[in-house]
Amino acid sequence: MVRTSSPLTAPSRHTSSHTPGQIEQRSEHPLLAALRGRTGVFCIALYLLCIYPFCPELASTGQVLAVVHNAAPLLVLALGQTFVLLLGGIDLSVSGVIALVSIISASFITRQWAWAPAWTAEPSLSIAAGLLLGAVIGAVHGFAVSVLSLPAFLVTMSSMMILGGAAVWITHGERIGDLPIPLLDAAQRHYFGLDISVWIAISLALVALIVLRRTLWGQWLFAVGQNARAAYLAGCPVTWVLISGFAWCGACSALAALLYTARMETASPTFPGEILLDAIGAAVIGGTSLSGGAASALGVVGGTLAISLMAQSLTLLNLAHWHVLMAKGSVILLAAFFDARRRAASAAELRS
Amino acid sequence: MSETLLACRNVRKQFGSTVVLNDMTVSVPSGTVLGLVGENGAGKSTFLNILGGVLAPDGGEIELQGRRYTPANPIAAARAGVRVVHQELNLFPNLTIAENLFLDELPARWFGIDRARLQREATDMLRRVGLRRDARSLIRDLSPGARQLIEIGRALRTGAKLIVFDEPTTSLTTPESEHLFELIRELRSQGASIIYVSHNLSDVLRLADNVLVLRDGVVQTLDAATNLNESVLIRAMVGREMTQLFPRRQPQPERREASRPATLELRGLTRRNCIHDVSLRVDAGEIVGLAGLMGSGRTELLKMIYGLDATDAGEVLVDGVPYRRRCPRGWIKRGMAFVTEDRRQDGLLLDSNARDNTLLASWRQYSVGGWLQRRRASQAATQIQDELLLRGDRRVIVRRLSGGNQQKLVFAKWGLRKPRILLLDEPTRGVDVGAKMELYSTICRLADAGTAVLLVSSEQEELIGLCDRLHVMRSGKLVAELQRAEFSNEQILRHALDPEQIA
Amino acid sequence: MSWRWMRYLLASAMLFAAGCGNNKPAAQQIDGQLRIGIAFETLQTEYWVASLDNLRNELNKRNAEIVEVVADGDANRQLEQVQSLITRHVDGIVLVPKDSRTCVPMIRAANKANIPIVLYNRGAATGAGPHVVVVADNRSITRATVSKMVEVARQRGRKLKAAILIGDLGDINAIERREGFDEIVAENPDVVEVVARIPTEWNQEKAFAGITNALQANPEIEFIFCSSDFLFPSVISALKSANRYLPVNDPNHVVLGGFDGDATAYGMLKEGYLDADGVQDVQFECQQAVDALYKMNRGETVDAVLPDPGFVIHQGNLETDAERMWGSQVGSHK
Repeated sequence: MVRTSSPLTAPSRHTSSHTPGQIEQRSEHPLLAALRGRTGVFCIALYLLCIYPFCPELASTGQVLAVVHNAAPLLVLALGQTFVLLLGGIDLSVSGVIALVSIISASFITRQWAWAPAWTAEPSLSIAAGLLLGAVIGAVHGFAVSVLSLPAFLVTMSSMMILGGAAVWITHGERIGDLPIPLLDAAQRHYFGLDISVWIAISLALVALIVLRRTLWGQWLFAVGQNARAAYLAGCPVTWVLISGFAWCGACSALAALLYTARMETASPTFPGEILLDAIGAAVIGGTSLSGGAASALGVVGGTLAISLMAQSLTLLNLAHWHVLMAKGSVILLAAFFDARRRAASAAELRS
Repeated sequence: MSETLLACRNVRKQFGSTVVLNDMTVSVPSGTVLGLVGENGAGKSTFLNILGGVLAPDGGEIELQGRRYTPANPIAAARAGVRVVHQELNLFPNLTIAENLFLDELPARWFGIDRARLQREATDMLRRVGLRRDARSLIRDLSPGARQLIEIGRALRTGAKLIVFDEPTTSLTTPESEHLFELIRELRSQGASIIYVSHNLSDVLRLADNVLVLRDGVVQTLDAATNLNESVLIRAMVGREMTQLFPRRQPQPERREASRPATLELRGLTRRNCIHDVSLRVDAGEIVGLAGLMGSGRTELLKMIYGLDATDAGEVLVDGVPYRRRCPRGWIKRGMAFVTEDRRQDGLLLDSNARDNTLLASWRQYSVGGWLQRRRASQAATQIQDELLLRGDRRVIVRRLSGGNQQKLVFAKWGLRKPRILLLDEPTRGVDVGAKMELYSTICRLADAGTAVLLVSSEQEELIGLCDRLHVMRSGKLVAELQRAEFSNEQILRHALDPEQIA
Repeated sequence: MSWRWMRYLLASAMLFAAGCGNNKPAAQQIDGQLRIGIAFETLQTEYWVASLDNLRNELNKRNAEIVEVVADGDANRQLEQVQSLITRHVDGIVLVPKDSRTCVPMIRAANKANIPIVLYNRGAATGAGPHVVVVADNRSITRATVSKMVEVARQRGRKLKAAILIGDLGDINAIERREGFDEIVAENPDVVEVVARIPTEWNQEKAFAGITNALQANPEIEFIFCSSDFLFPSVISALKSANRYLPVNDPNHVVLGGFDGDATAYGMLKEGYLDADGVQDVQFECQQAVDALYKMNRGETVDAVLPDPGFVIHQGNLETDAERMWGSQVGSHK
């Protein structure tokens, strides 16, 4: 197993062969060693093999497209979440941000508010406003976490309540439909056989990949996530990195909000919170550590596909939604278990 | 000789194909001290872990008082009468000293804890290890040295037959170490056996009856301490002649012209209840030492300079210009580097590889418009790692490297920035002799190239061997300045200790 | 090549191979047998469970293959489920939409795939593509129910303070029920005066909190219309804690009306606590929905709206009409 020139991604996962301190990896079969870390992604292939005999329908073009299509907005969310998890934080405000951003963008576009100037109805501007709103909300989270030293869990949980409540308050609980048809057509158009949302998600994954591997910002994200104190002492702008990381997550949530709105043709002030767990689950299956410092954009793509694939195939088996929930929960737990094992192993090395 | 307490015969341990301990045979008679030395990775820790019940040997046998000794875990080892005082402390920071001392068997009364008895016995124990603290203080509030003493107290309390000390003095001050040595002698006279592991060879020679040298898992030397001296030990440890630990410094020209501003100057630096009116200057190419006991405020002073702690009064000048809103980023731009006391917490990304750690403070220099120039960065990192003689696998996460290599990476990180001012806080703590020597030469090379170095160390040999001048700190004040000619252990100690204490 | 890349390649190759491999529906169908997809929004109230049972019965009678999905209140998931039904080549879809707007893209997807779609019990917003709706005439049933309540209230000979529990405003049925209520109240200003409008979003906890607050703010409320029977447990416990849950013949009885016709409402009627309940004819609606799908599969045209006239059950017609109330059947199973 030769490392290519990418030491930036999650080095903690790379096993190698020679220091006297190692205990566990020695006797491992090379295949098992390779499985380490990328377990989630590899499990997809295994899962496909196992499930295929029971639902051959899964192999139809339509079903494969459905898996990819359903994964798109989730991938956007998971990529956002990954950056925050990488920093050792968490963003629970996803459903609140989605609700608020979608109703505000939709309100602008459909001219719901008399006070809003006419130019806000320009779709591109409304969309930009939505993304900006998400980024600003995220930046506020980052500010609270870095400057005010509040726990990310608490900040974003409160934020979820506040934003979700505000969305219902602004709309009085009503959904906003009647989005302009040309806009919806543009948003639902297919390119090369895939929905535009899929292309947006793929582009975002590429951006995340490049950011994490090739940019100064990405390097700082890893440094702060692994050891914020050491990074600070080495001159890394920790506060800025935290704020920007959370802002990225907020912007991703906002982008997902727009994708969901375009798909449902409706902006809804309430959004089921379960999507958050799917996003975190996708990140964890993709090898993101909940204790920070490890993440990979490709892993998240794999994790998202795994979640989507599981949901789709279990539905095809005529299993109810709660069965899917149970399966998803178990898989995420398994991924977390491997993550913990990995860390326990390195801690054991430390002691010996 | 009295009866044998511990007898190891052909003890073997291997991890995969790497043999870490090879047919180790040694016996420890009752009431003696065995000194155990060797470079990092020589197999000392593995041996201690076998004794402590953490690892099981792959071959050979161990007898304790003539009975087979195969502890399944540390608790079983402790029951059999073997206690290992680890270098890495296993204390609970949020509990009190007393609770930590008696954690495994808190004195019970009715359904609660007998607080009074706990307090009484803990206070006795603190007196025994020579720590003047209230038994009710929290571990959190203690210095590393004090924590080390608590850990030792914990081992003493159980009345062990064999006590293993793994580098017990690394975070102790000289008087604290002296107290520990007395304690060890006392234990020995009571019939307990001690295994004493240390990088400090003179301590080992003073304390031990017999000394065992390990290299690459093989016993190199096992002899009475009286037959040995430091150079013999070093030769046995590193397998080569080591004539001199400290590199020869180029003679310093007289740089302290009053007209020229110093590279780094402190004027009346004060922080309430901590640092009082500290003024000193470090010129380019100079190594200035800060000696003093634990808690005398040396680390705190460095933190203040670096802008981590607030300053109540006084100022810091760089090239004669005051620098007020100090912060790491600003300092780094001004060419300062700070090697902290605790490299694991403050210095390294333990789960990253050598390259990322080396570049940690320099990424900005190796990026253009936010894009990393990875090839250029890697080349620079490799080059400085080579210069510092970094050994070990560079692709592996830093957590798996030895202390010496980790510390070299910290130096590489700062060396890459070509610092003009270098703050060093205990730069060779927990580092083996070979790496130590290489770090010393790095420090001297930097100074010779014109870096102003401010060195804090608890190892007086280090201060004496490296520094051009020394300041002695006591209770947050600078109490003496010594020139190279005046350096001696006695001089430093005399100033560092309380006058009352001497009297 | 590193393992890591190998693994990605492997995974994507499998997906790709799967995509190319097999494009026709795998399960072979018996000639003439239809595969019908049922997409429910939720199964959390008795009404939906009873509806699902009736739909199954109806489809089993015709020997159809049934594919069921439930979205558990998530509109996005419902869209995914409908799309999945379409990719499984069903011959017709019975959809209980989450709300009137989010079902628009679902209808469009079905239209595009040329699959007949019947919306069960909830209509779509204007602008949706061609579809058939089987729906109770919420407005007129509510009107009839509230009229019956007003009739009871008139006997008190004074003006009563009234409250209404409103459903999820994204649900067209909730809006129609509210409107039906408002119309009758406006026609009888001498009998009732609305003092509390409680939004519930079809949520039991919100309903309970709302009615409790309303009763504290206006202790003299004597007239409550509940937009769905499944919220009655909240109303009952709120009334009980205010000591106001009294039988119809008690002079301090709070005039109560509901909508749906579930087992709770049936029990309340039988025990003499409920004055009037608008009943949706579940069996009729299910029959209509399935009929419509079969007709469309035969190429026949079907009316766009298939109304369920429903009826009002009250203390006066309880004995004669209880059999037609689906809640009485559910209750007898227990």
